[in-house]
Amino acid sequence: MKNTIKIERAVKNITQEDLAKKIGVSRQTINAMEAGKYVPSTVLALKIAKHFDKKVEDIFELENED
Amino acid sequence: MNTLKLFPNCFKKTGWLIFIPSLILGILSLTDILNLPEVSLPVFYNSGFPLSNEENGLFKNTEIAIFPNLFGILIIIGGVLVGFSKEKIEDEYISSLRLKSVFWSLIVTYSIILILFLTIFGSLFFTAMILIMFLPLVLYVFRFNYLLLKK
Repeated sequence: MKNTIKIERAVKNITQEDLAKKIGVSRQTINAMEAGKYVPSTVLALKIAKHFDKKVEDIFELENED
Repeated sequence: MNTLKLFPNCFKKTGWLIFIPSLILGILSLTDILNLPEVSLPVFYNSGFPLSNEENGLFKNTEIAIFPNLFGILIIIGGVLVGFSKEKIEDEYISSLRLKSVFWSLIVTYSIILILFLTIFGSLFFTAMILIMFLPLVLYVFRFNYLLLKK
């Protein structure tokens, strides 16, 4: 699964740490998601989308191998 | 979001303070560097050793290598506190790291045990088994913290 968290973060000009604090997860979690090493749960995906005022589909996208 | 039952985060530091020294001392006690005395103490159950003339049974006195026993106990207590205390922020990704680390440590441990079963016979096998008892916990603690710190 692809995501645009890094881009959204750049648009808002906030660090991984800031985003992690606002959503209530660890910095490692944000880092792992951006690196594509971790697929978040639905709850976390919804929280991230809500934080950026977007739909989940705008941030997360399926890839061919999914 | 999180479902694992763990100790509070404050226990982790205490755990490290117990775990690391007792692990080092435990390893040293296997060598001849430390000359540790044996003490005669009453124990809950003494099964005795072959060719020993000690009394078997409940609440009998026996010679105990007290320090290696103590280090073993402390490695377990410290390891459990480190491995099973919450991180500052314990979330779903951290839980997935825990699962990965437990899985990794079990695979490594049982691979080693399998090799030992196939290669080592005699009393060395039993010595190795005593040490292997600590391996899953020790490997889990180090693997999990390595994954946490790794970028």
